[in-house]
Amino acid sequence: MSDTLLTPTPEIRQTDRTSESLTRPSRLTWARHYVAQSSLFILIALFLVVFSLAKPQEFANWNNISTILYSNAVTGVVALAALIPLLSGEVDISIGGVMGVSGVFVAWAFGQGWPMVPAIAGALACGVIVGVANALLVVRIGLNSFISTLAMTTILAGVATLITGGGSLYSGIPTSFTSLVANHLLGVPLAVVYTVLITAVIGYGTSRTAFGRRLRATGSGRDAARLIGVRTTRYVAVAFVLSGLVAALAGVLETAELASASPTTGNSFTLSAIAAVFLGAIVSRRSRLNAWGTITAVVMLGIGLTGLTMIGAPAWVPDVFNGVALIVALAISKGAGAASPVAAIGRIGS
Amino acid sequence: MSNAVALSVQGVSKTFGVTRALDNVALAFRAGQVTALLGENGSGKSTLIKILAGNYTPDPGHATATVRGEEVPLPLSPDHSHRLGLRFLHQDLGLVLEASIADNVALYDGFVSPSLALRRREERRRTAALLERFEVTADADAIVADLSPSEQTMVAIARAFGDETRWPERVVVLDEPTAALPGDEVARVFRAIRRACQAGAAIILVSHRLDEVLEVGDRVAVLRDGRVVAEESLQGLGADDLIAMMLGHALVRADSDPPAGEERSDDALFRVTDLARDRVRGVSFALRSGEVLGIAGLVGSGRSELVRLLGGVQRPTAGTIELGGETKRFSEPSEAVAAGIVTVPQNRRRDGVILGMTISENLTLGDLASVSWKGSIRPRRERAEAQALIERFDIRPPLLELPLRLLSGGNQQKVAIARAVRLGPKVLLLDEPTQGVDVGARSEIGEMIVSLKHAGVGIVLASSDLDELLELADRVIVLNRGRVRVVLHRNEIVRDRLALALAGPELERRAA
Repeated sequence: MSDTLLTPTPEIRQTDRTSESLTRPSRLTWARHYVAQSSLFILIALFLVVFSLAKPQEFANWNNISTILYSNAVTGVVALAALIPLLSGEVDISIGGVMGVSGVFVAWAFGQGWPMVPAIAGALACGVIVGVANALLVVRIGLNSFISTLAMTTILAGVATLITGGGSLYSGIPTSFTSLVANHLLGVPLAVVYTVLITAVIGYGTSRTAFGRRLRATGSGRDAARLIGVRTTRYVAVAFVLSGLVAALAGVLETAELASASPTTGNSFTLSAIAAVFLGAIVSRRSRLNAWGTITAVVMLGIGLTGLTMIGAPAWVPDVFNGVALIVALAISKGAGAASPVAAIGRIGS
Repeated sequence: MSNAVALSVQGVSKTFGVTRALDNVALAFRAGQVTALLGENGSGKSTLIKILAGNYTPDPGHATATVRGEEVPLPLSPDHSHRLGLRFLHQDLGLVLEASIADNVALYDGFVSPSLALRRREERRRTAALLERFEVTADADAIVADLSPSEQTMVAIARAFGDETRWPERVVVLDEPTAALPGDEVARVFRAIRRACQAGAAIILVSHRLDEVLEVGDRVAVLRDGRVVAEESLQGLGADDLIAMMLGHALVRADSDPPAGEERSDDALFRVTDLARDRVRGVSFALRSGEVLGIAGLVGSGRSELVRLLGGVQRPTAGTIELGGETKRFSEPSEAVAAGIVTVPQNRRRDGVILGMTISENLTLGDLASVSWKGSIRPRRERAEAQALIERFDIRPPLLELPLRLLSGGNQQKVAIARAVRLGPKVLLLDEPTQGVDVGARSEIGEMIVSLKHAGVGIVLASSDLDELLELADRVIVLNRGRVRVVLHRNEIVRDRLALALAGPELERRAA
């Protein structure tokens, strides 16, 4: 840091004119910011137009859009699970694993004849337990969150296989459970309604509350936050527990959508969830990670993938699409100077 | 002893912004001699060393270095500097903590043989010989992290000097090599320096400890404000002369009549007794409300570590902290903050402020309850509070929503102080509050400290800036190797006394 001490920071002049120019950037910068901030919406619009032109019958109807939203609702919830620890400067890779375990747990419980409430509560408890374990590993033992939650992922995959005995579970799942997500409210599938509600809660909690402010401070300047009295370790721990809970909820929703559960379900969600979180930062004015941006990115990725599949893109395309999206998102958030969330991924070495 | 010039530099200037760190510097360092490079903080020593090491580029012009007769234009690349035989012991040692001593040596000096098996055996042998030469008892395979701090320093020194056969070609720059060492270990470093010197190495020693400079040095070069103000033999010089060269005027000796008794103990707000951990080896002091206690001390004296112990960042291994007559134990800074002890830390950009958050967010972070209702932040209340602080502390530009990253260093520091003061501290710990801050902000920060003092806050001001201590402190304790060696009171805080006290406790005692 010695170079920062020796090189004087360019002094921002104190005249009113400069202050004003800081609030009101030139028209060009303003336009660039505006385009960058709306880029996700522009992409969504672009996808809608292109795919509608390519496949007017199959793509351009409300049923199809509703299906896309329905099938991406779970991805949205997992992405919110990824968002919370990333705000605190840590990454939780095990969200897919938690989804898998909670998903098979609820199916197994129905198979054993459990009523709905304990079955769902048990599945959510699985997520909380994993969250507590992750928190202990990172906060108490001081492990790197990327590596320890990666290890947790394979442990959870093993546990999920143990519960199912290897195959899928589908017997005993009541229709009252599947209709919890498949029914419609004003033409919108309930799964989508839940996702919107969860986004609203997490969005408010992480941006408008003292809790959210301290959580973000823990992520973007942990030492400085700690010195002014924020119990940063506590916020990291809570972030992991919440992440486990929300990921478990995603697992339950997924089982309800599919009316079955297999131990490998969650894996495919992890990467696109994390990609969505970073892409979502684009819509915010200061390139901050945020809940509504995350959901917007999920919708953008979902429409893109579905459209690509419909116009007959080969099977390898979705994986490449997801990977590229994550890299692009990381590059953008690094360029925007949003140091902290990228640090969570980049801190593997320390 | 051949005293040919081993390294010389000519025409070296370096400008940072508007500050001229080096101004047309020309210096020569002779083989077989120890040249002490002296100067106050900011005189340009580190800048010169960094140019030699290839870390800084001098201002364009005709800067050159001559290494054993070979003239090379500056800038050098770090690799070129190494190939020319220049070796550096930086203050942070630059060792890879997780690797063995042998690997650290090999990384530095290149691997010896193409065959892997041969190579490891040869490296170990070479390292063992090197360690023996420098009186280090550790095994070549020992992991550096497991060594004591003084052993680590010795390993770094041994590595910088390298094989005995190469000593005649070496120019070794030692930057505060003894800073982290307890007194009895210093002799070992000096023996190593003398041996290498006799073999023909040229040694450049940067040290604030003038007693040590006088003991081991042959010549002295003094920088002041980026210029060479003296370059001569140390023969016949004393510490007073050296200080006079650095300060630019003759040493003024204050009458040293130790005031009767320590401060009255009954009305102390904040009392620290025998506090210790690592480099802090038993520090005691008492602070009244409305008093500024300065803490002076060189690198390695335990100054910054002491501030961390006081602020609850680290737990002391011994000693007590009392606040308002109650003994306090902090396991987290949040507990110290709750008790009324708030820190404004040294490393502003990492520990002091959150660069990615806005001015307003930084200001209110310490106490969000007062701007919230049932856990939700009330934007209007937050804006009002932040606005008031921006005006009171004259933070510029006065824009609530501006990320801290875009502020100047001085204004970042004002935010760091404002957010601490907002918590209504009883004791404020300021560590290097004006480091890297421009002149205007510096005087504003000084005024803030004075007005807080008048408001009854007890202030601990740790600083390496003597002028700052002179100006603001009512009392200064001078730390040396983790202990309070000298206490100077308001009337005796004369610059030269402080400089002398810092330079070496032995000198101070002799002078008193």
